[in-house]
Amino acid sequence: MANKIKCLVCDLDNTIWQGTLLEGDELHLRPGVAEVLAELDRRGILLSIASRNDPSDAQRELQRLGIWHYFLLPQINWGNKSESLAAIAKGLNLALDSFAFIDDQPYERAEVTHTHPQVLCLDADSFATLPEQPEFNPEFVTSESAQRRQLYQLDLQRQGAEEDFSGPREDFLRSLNMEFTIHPANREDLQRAFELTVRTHQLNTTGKTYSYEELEAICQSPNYLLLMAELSDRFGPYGKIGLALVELCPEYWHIRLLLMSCRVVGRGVGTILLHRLLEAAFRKGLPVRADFKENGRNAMMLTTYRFAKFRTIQRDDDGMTIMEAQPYGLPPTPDYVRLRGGFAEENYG
Amino acid sequence: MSKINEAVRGFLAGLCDVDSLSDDDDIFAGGFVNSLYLVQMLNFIQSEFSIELDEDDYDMANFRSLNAIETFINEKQKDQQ
Repeated sequence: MANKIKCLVCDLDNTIWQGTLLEGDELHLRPGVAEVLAELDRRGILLSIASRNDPSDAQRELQRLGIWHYFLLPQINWGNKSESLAAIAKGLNLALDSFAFIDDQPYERAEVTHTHPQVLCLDADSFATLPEQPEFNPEFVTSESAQRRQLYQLDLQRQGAEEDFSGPREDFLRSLNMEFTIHPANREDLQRAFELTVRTHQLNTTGKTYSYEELEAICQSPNYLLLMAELSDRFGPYGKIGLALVELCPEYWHIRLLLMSCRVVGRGVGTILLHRLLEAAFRKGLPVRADFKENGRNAMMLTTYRFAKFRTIQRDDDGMTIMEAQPYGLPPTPDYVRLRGGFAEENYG
Repeated sequence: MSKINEAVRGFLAGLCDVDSLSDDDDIFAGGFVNSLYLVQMLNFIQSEFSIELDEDDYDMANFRSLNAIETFINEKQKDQQ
C-alpha cells in the first residue's frame, strides 16, 4: 500500500500560479489547481507552502486568487525549502514521511530530497492529476477529514495561546476548559475508528489496523468493547482523538488496541481513557491485560502501560508482548479536565 | 549541586526553564515537562548513569522530582554494582 500523504507542501511560482511574482508577471492559477486544492482539502489532506518570495506580496496574491485560506503555516521566505518543510512538520506535529512536496524546479526538489529522502517530491506538471494518485486517496473520507484543516487551525491557535501564557502550565491547562468524553462506538464512528488505526503511529500500542467490517463485527459483539474518546476546549473541538478496543474475557479484560492522536500530546489527558477503563475492570475485581507491539515510534505507549503498573507476562516470537495489571487504586482524573459520558460498564463482562 | 542533579538539569534544560525548577518540584504534574519527554528522560538516565530499568522501577514516585531521581539512581547504581 502506498504511504498516504497527510500534508502537501506547494511551491508558488509556476506551480500554483503561472508566472514569477518577483518579476512582476501577471499571475493566474495554473489549470486545475483550484479544483485540486478544494478536493485535497475535502479529503483531509493538509496544504502548506514553501516558496522563496516576499511573504506579504505572496499573501496578497493568494488572497486575490481566493486560495489563501487553504494553507496552514505557509513558509514564504528566502531560506531553504528543506528547512521550510521541517518547520511545517514540526508545527503540525506530523512526521515527514507523510509529506509530499510539489515544485517545478528540479533543483528545489533535489534539495528537499537530499535532506528529507522520506518526502515524496513531485513535479508541478503532475498537479492536476494528484487526486488520482493512490498516495492522495485516503481509504475513507469522514466528516473528520473535511474538518481537518479547521481542527489544525484551532491547534495552531492553542499553540499560540500556550506560548503567550506565562505562569504554571497547570494554570494554562485549567484555562483551556477541557472536556473529555468517552463513549462506546456506534456505527457512525466506525470509519473514524478505522482512520485512527491507520493514521496513528506514535501513540499506538500495537499498530494493528482493523477493517471497517472487522470493527463493525467487534461493535456488535457482546465480547468486545470499542470506546471512542473526544476532546474539546474553549477554542473548539479536537474531534475524536482516541480509541480503545477491549476484549471482555470472563477472568480479565484484554486491551487489544489503545491509541491517541498525537494532536493531544501535551494536554495532560493521555492516560484518562486508560485509567477509566482500568477503573471499570478493577471495580469488578478483574485484572486487565494489554497487547503491546513495538513499531519503532511507540515507546511512549509501553512507558504508559508500565507506569500504569502493567507487567510483562508473555512475549511472543512475533514481537507481541502481553502485559497485565492487577487491581489497585487509580489516581483521580486531573482537575483541569471535565470528564463526560463514560460507559455503562455494568453492561459489560 | 551533585553530579546527578547537574546532569539531569542539563538534560531538562532543553525542555523547560530549569532555573525556576527547585529540587523538590514535581517535574511532570507541575507541567514543567510534557510527558512525551518522559521516554527521552528515561533513556537519558539509563545511558548516562549506566543503569537498566526493571518494570518495577516504572513508578512515578521514582521520577517525580530532581531529588527523587537522584535517590533512585543512587540506589539503582548500588544494586547493580
